Amino acid sequence: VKGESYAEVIRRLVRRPDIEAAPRLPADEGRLVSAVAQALRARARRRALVRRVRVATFAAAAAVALGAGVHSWQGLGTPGGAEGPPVASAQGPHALTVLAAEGGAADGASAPLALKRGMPVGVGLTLRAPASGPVRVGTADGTSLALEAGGELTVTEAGATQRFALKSGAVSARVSRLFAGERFIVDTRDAEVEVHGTQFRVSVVPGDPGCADGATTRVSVLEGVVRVRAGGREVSVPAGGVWPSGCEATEARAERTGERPRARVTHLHAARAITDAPAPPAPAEAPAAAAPAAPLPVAIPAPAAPLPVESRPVAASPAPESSLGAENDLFASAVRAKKQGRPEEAARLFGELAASHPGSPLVESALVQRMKLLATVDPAAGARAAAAYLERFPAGFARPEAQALVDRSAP
Amino acid sequence: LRVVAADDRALVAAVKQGDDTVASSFCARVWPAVDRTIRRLLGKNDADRDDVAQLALIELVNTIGRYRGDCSLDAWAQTITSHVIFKHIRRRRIERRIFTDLLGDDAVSVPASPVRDEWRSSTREMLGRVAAHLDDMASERAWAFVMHDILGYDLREIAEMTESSVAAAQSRLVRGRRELHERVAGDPSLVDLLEGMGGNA
Repeated sequence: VKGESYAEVIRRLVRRPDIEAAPRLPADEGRLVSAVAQALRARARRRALVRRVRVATFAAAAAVALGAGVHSWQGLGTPGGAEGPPVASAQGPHALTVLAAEGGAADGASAPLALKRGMPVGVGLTLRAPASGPVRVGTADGTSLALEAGGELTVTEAGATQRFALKSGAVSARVSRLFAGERFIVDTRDAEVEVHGTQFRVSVVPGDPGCADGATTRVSVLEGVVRVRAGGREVSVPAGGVWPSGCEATEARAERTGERPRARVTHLHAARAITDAPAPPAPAEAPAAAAPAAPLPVAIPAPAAPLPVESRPVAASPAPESSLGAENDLFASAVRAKKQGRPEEAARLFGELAASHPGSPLVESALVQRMKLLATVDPAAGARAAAAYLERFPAGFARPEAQALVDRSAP
Repeated sequence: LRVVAADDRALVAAVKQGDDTVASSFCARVWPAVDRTIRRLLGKNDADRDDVAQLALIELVNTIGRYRGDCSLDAWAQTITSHVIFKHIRRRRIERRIFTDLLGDDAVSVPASPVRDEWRSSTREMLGRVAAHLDDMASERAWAFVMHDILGYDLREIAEMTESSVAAAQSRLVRGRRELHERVAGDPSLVDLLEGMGGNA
């Protein structure tokens, strides 16, 4: 043993690596096989559940996207269904898609291209709205932006943080609810406008040395709160407010004379509910022209006569609210209740959504969820819900399941 | 249950799908690796052996989604089984002397040695004392020593089975050998036993 570690001696004496396994299953093979079969069935159930959740999530996202698209079409006053889906969600809820862009163009990494409805809008792309009308882009989660005629907007981030740089013109935005970690920001040359679930408009005007140190950005808020950071300061602009204050005359004069900003940034803050009201007229030909053209589908209440944005009585004439935000909130609350193991509450909320917003694109999904939830706690109620669903959506996507519930409860 | 003959790839695919008709085939296929791992790490007479075997088989089904085919099905079964065993050992550590049970087992014996009563007696005493020292050591080091030097696993296998890096496994092995040597050196009666047996081995 001399010169050898005791551990080495132990290794040499005790080493036994060739333990043979029993070649066959033990005598209680049935117990083991039965346990494994049970685990396999549980695995199959989990897989089926995951598939169902994925389908339901996709259906809900598609419904929301459809709702946003329909809403955008209504805002534009154009007939729907012409050129494919208005919102593509293939790249996630924050992926931007062109909703409407007649005559619009974009500058990306390669050559300029004509914008078409349904075209994905990636980071780095600069959108240019023609003088004849706006360019609209949106996401599957319901956010939409309207780049007004003659405007120029670059997408700088399109993930959890959605960031845009407004080079010229104006952009109106409606931003759906932002969750933790999500931001929506519009940059201009001299300000940064961050949205907190609001509806707003940002425009760029010629600087007026006598007003706000010559700032070129104008922000008007229709709903919610917008934060504007400029000159090292941050200001919260509430609904009905404008920023900077006291500069309304400047933009009014600019719009009356038809003067257009020179490569300046306009921030448009998103709103929870964009109105369908006709917008002020846009320049018909060149940016320098002030002739009225097609109405802009922006979220600004329409005055009797065209007026500069900030001089419009925003607060006195509030825009009619869309119910899309409320519908989404209700649907989200119901899903949350379901996930938290409160099926009765979830079913009640889904029912409330269907009753209070009968025209919502979420109604079918809500009725299907309600039907399934009720079936788990009260089969009879589930069957009634299934019958109600079939009556309303006789060819709905959940018809087989609903029919099965009805048949099961039949005497 | 219907027994479905299937090669490994088809069998794994069926298990991933949750097809309970392959339960028997799957058990038969992975059982040798599961049983061998349990015999090595727990000993063949461990009271919890059957329960651990069942837990290991269920864990194999539950984690089959992570099996990418990068290693043989046997190697993967060995790894998963060892995870189940170590989890089980951690739960019962307070009440049991792991290495005393393992090295006291008949499966671990002196190879190629003359069968004599005196030799058997010395071997058992030596194993008992070594196991007691191992039980008192930090478990990671003791397991690294036992798995590598006694059970014959290589460092990569040890790393996978103990869910650590190869570097960590090597470090634990070196430290484990050193600590065991120091402990044995401080146990004169065990030194006498080892020197007597080492000379005859």
